[in-house]
Amino acid sequence: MKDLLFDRLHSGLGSVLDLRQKQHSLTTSNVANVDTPFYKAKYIRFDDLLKDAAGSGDNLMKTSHERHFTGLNGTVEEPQVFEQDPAPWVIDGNSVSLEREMVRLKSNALMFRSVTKGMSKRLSMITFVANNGKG
Amino acid sequence: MKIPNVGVNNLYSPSTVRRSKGVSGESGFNMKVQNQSIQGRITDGLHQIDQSQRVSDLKLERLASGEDVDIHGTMIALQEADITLRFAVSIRDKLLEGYQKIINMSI
Amino acid sequence: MNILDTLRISASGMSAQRVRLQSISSNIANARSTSTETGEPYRRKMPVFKAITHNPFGSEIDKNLSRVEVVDIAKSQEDFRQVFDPAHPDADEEGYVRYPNVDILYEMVDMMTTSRGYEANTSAVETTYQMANLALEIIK
Repeated sequence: MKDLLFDRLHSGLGSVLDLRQKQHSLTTSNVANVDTPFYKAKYIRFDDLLKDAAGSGDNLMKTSHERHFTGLNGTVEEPQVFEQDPAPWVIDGNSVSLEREMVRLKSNALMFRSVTKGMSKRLSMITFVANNGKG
Repeated sequence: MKIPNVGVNNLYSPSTVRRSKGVSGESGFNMKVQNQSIQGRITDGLHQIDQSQRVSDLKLERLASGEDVDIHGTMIALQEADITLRFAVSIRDKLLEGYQKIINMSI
Repeated sequence: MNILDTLRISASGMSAQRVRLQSISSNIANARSTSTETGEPYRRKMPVFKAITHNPFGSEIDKNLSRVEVVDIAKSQEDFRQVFDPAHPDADEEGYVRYPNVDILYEMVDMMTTSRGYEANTSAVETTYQMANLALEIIK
């Protein structure tokens, strides 16, 4: 019965939350290494990966598909972590930009919150029906 | 730069979707009251719930996958689905109550 | 155009202003550097900003929205200031020393506008974030 009540979107949303959590930890690690020589900023490329899974969008990214994320439809594998190359004028090889990381932190948290809200509203609708219309 | 007319023409909002035809052949809430039977209206209502649920699911999936990050649109669609559902259950309860009263009327 | 693109564009603004600040700092620090590795005096660094369409495959609105990127840190080709000082180690045959083409006052004013620009972009990020959170408040 759990399959009837909790569809693929439900588990898909859960997977997306996992990914957002992983991105968050990558961002905090980047910020911690803001001064580390030769440290490259790491991130998960959401748009392309998930667009690919959803089957739409122009995927211009050249990436190997061995660890392809198929979030909203099936099992989740480890997402591919991308590294940012430093700008040409950077001397110490460090490619962490505090502005970019801060904004990435904010936008990631925003998406996490949105998916959480969506998921909780869906669950509250199911709960409402399960309680035979009484809250 | 020519700015297009950005109106509220969100394809997926349930409130802009013309829903199933009732018994009279008209759509959505814009039907003539006297031309529809109870059954027609109930069926119509069920279709509306279904549609609003589908739309909100679709929008949420697109939001989560990052394909179409429309936060306010998705939240509104979800809330519409919720309200539609609650309204329908409320109407069902009223109908049942009315039916019970009729059944229990002593002749 | 989604809200995340808006955030990224503001982030690019902040990054660009910071690169500009680095150039200004370098200019101010080297305002009197009469020699560099290349032999000639320090040339004023000028970051070159370029507006890049953030999402050229998007809607009409998207095609008109650009983020900013620093494409190059160019060296100013203005003439050096010549000062007559034969005793200076870097004086040429005629006794003139060439000083960097950096005007400290100009750099200070530049720094003010850079700071304002950075602040404005940060403000934009905050506002965007608040708007998005307000949208999320639609549910409960």
